[in-house]
Amino acid sequence: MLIEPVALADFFLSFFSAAMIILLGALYAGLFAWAKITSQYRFQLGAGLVYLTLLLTVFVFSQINHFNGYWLTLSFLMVVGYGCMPYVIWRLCVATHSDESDHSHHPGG
Amino acid sequence: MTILAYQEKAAVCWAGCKQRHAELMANPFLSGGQKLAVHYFTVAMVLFMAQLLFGLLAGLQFLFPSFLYEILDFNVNRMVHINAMVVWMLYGFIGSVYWFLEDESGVPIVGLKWGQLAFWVLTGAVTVVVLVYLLIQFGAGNDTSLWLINEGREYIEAPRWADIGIVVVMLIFFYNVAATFSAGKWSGIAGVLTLDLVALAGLYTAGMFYVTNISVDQYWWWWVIHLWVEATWEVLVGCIMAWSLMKLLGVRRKVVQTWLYIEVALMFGSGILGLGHHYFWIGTPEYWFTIGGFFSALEPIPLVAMVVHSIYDSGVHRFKNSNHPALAWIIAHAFGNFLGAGVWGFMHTLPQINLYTHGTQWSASHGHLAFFGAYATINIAFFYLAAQQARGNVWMGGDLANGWRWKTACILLNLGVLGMTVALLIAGYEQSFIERAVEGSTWAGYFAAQNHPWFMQAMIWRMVFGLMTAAGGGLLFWDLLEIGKGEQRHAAVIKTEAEAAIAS
Amino acid sequence: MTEQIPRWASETFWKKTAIWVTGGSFVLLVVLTFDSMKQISAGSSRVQAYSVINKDVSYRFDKSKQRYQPVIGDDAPLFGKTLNEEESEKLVDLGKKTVQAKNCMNCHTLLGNGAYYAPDLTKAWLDQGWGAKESRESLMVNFLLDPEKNTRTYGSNRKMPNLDITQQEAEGIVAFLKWMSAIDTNGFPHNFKAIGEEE
Repeated sequence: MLIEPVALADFFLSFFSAAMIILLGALYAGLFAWAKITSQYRFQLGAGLVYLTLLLTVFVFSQINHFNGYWLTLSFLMVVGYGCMPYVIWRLCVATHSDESDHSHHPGG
Repeated sequence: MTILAYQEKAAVCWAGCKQRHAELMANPFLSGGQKLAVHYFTVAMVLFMAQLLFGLLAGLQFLFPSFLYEILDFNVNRMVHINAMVVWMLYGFIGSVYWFLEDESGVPIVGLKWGQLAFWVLTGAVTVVVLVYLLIQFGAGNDTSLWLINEGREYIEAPRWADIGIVVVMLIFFYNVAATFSAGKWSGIAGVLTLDLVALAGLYTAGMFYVTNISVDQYWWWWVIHLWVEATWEVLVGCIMAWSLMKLLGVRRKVVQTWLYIEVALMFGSGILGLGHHYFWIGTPEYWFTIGGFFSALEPIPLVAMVVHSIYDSGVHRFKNSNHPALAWIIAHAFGNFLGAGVWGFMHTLPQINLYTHGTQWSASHGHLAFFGAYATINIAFFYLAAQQARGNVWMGGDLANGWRWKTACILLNLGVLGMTVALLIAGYEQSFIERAVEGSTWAGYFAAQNHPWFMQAMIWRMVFGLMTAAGGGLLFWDLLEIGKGEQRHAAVIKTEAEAAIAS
Repeated sequence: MTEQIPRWASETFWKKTAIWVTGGSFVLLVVLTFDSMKQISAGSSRVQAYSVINKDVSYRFDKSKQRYQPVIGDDAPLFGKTLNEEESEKLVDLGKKTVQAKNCMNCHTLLGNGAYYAPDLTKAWLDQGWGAKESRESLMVNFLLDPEKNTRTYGSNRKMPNLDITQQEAEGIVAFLKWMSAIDTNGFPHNFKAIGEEE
């Protein structure tokens, strides 16, 4: 699979957008989980806004890195992956801890 | 001072060490395995100091190239710097496993005597290897040099005789772990740990042969480096963390083990083929672009998963903690790992940009923060847990006597490493720009980038933050030797699952 | 109490998943390793036979591949001697062993891997810093034999130390560097103008 390297003028944007993808991904996940914990609508809204920014960042990142063909699948996977991951992990957290509250009633483990 | 005075000083120092060792062996709060663990932790800390010292020397040579020229050249200092790091982290891991082995299996360590022997053999071998590095440094271009002096392959420079020794010691360690679990009880953690150790030792043998073909050489070399650091080490840390969570915070075994398996799936699922991001430019086929790019994009996902889980836990549980230094270092681990491995890794991992950043200070920047965040921090946290137990499971929470020491050490180390990382990032950015992109990687281009004011200033700042790191390291060592001594209050007792069940 | 945990969140489910994911990834890695080994054995199109040291080697932009590629040209024996495959391998092997025994990798990078205190050696053979193709071999050998005297620090004051390299070893290193410069590294380094390719 051939690649087209980043242009000299775009170096900074390439590094910056890559860093922002990870940071925004984490911030989105954090706000998502925090909204669940506190049941506050504004955090959910915040998470949504951060995710929109993440979408934009992935778009910029893909442009700067001259993504085409196969590489666009990668952009798509990042968008879907970062979008769904917090939801999946949250459900896993709830499910794996589900019998925790009645812990003391069931001795022996 | 005369030689006699030095001899006296050495004798006093030796007597002090023997005294401390005798005290350790008589410590009523530690089991046999835990005493062995403290041996490993002590050498780990000594090697950590060596890492800092030789890092400073190598850093100084960027500023003053004639410093120690042809006495201790950059390649020697840099080799000791990175080897000390690899070995102290392994010592920390081995120690941590010995620490909880008896607790987790429910029986005393089966081959404790062998374990002790292996410790002294390994430590002796490490000492000889380092002395040969420092005093002999290099040999002629033949097999004898590779067998006796230095193998000349970054990170795994240890000569072949030492490689074989390391494998033997690892086998004894593996035997102790597997046989102790077999004699006692197996658990999910035990299973993952044992299989991970097989992989860890097996992978090392992939770096134990010589080939002329450098593409083949580097292909297998990355098997060792990458599959250790980005796969088996991570899972080993996962096992150590799993036990700690149960033991120290009373999290239930079922939950911990389920998450350990989830982590193994995520880490190995993204990490094993993530190896591809090292196969872009070493002669290997183009399909590694596809594979390396894909799995590199996946690798940060476990880190995002961690964010969600930690928020979930903090919201659902109210954990009490009576070891503040350990907790602080675990928090440092979470942030350091996220930034160093996640953000710094992804910034330069895809081939479209890696074409320019490969082989520049970018890698050094990423390496400093990632190794520190992912492994140094977690080892230090465990050292504090050990110190707490060794002093009689004393209170190490708020208003601890001399609490300034661990706090200052923690701040200095974290700021120091972060500062070095940012300085190296600026140097790497400049290098990828001028040397790589503009000048096309010629030697003239290389030096044009090295002489650039951005680079020179970055090296000065790296030195400043390096000194800060070293100060923090020294303070940390002192603190670990003293913390909790004379403390009368006991740590809150965490009930494990079984104890809680009996109580109810 | 396990019935409260859905199957997809159970310990056994994730245990099996972990085993399958790890096993699957590893098997895939082994398969790819077999293929890669075939493609990078000496004498393949990606990694040239050792006797390539008898040929002229250069590095040019390949329009169809849109990246730089090594180019193998006419006969240009190293040190004026044409070596057969076996002799070539022996010489390159001596060079590689010397590169390891002298710990070059903890100052330099090779194929971009190593330390960053001294220049990358991937295309050292092709560097324009050697001036002209005719004098390159002897310049390289002399430099390796006495780096301090023949130092070229480009104003950085960084000098290679004397590593007690013998004449034979120096020739081996040059052969190794020439052979290495012919490896197809997927266009790394980019934009590198090789000696003799000046326009």
